[in-house]
Parts: sequence; structure tokens; C-alpha cells
Amino acid sequence: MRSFAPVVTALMALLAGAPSWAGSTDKSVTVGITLSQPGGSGVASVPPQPPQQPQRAGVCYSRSLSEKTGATVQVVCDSGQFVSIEAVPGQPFLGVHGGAFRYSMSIDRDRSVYDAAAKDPFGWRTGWGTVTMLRLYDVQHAGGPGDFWADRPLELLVSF
Amino acid sequence: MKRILTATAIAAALAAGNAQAGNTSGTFNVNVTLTSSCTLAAVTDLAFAYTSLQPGVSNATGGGFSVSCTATLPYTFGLFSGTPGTPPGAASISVTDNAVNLNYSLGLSAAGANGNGAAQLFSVTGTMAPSQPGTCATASCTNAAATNKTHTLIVNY
Repeated sequence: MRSFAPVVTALMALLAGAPSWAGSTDKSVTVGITLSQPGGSGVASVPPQPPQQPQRAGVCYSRSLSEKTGATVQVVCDSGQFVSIEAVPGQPFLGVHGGAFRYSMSIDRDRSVYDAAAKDPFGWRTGWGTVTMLRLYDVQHAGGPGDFWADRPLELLVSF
Repeated sequence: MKRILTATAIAAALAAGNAQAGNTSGTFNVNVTLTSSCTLAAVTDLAFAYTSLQPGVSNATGGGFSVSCTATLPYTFGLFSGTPGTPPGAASISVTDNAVNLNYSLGLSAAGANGNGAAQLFSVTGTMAPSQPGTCATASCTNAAATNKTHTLIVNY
């Protein structure tokens, strides 16, 4: 007589592995996406620019500031912890000084001074942070007689 | 006069008395069959605002929904890309939108819960990885024309 034990065992295993849901209900989910180009839109004219360096992740370009100053303004934050401001090579700007550094101000010392600073309209803060700055001079585009390039520095400052 | 009052009082007493000769009692059961169920409210649309090649992750807004289930009934959530498939669905899905060519992932704020008879709030979460260029011939585009922007949330109970 043939034994049914293996068949029964297999059926039980199948039943045990089957979904145990008593029911289900579902609804649709719609995903909307708005994709924008970097730098926004609506700029009528763009001054001639030298060939752009390929964009890198973590590099932010300010289109409006670049067009206002005639320099390409980029902020590099590859690691998320270090920031630098660079003059793009090939442009008629002379980088004078700049760099990134960390700062720390004790909030336990002269607290009243810092409290006063924290309340000013510029929103100064105390504590740890990073600052990077760069001063540039436009060495080509003199505004006329007496317009010395050293009198027209462009200074950029980023802090966080 | 006194006799009339006495007769009236006796008649009233007889009328107020119990006229039943006896009683007996039996018990009965009330059998209830409760079929457990869940209802799922509409899911709020998710929305991404993404700038091409942006350095940071973009998180979608929206995605909230509520579930009402029989008290103590356990249930789980699942997601399907597009139309519903075989339950229970996936905990997360990855989709590349075929209009703006951006990839995103959808997940859930919880794997499931136990019903309590009231509406319980959850959400479908959406994230979009950084540094994606996307496809857009103008300054700004939407995925309104995408044919794969609608997905399915399922509640299994």
C-alpha cells in the first residue's frame, strides 16, 4: 500500500507557506516632480564667459552673483565640512588672499558681549563654525581715469 | 358610608396584586461573527522639487494617509510600482520617472501596526538621490506627462 505521508507533509508545508492575509485594500499613490535648472530662470542676457569647468558634486554656482560681478562665483563643499571660494582660472581676476578656517568663540567668556551680538540685526552667532573668504581684483575693466583696480576689490565671505 | 370605603379598598388591593399563577425561565446565547477589515483613505500626492545636479538629497512632501482597522487586528503595508501586484508588496520601491528621468525611492513611515478602531496616521516617504541631471529642455519641467508616476499602497490584514 502506497503511503500518503509524504504527500500530506508536502501539502501542509505549502499551506504553512501560503500568505495568511485575511484581506487587503489598496490605494494609488501619485508622485509629482518639478525639475529646475541650476541658477534659476528668467535672465535675459548673459555676458560672455570662458569655457566652464565641468560641474562637480558639491560645487554650487551663483548665476546671479556671477553675472553681476562678471566673475564666476562658485562655492566648493565636497566633503560637507570644508568650504573654499575659488577664482576660476583664465578669468581676469587676481586672487589676493583667502582660505577656509574654523573658528570657535567661547560663550562662557564675556557672555554679555556675545548675547548682545546675538541680538543684532545681522543675526551674528557664537560658537563653532567655518568661514571662508576671498578677495579679488578686476585687473582689466577699469572704470576710467582714476579708477584704480585696487580700489575695487570684490570680497566674498561664506560662513556656516 | 364606612362600608363603601372598605369595599373600595379591598377591590383596589386585589387589582394591584400579582395575578400570575407561576413562572419559569430559560437562557439563550447571542452569537456574533465579526469579520475583521481595514479601510484605507486616499494617499496625499507626493511632490519633489529638484534642481538638476543638486548636491543634497531631496525629500518629497506629502504622502500622508490613514488606516482604520478592527481593534487589535494586525496589518502591514506594501508598495507596488504601478498597479497592484500580489500581496504583500514591498517595503520600498525604486522608480525612474520616464518624463524627467529622475530616480527616486518610496518607502513607508512604518511597516505596519495593530488596529485600534480609529484612524491611524502614516505616510509614504520619498527620497531622491543627489547629483542627478534629469531631462528638461527648458528652465523648469514637471513630470505631468509621465506614465509611471502613479504607484500603489496596499494594506494587508
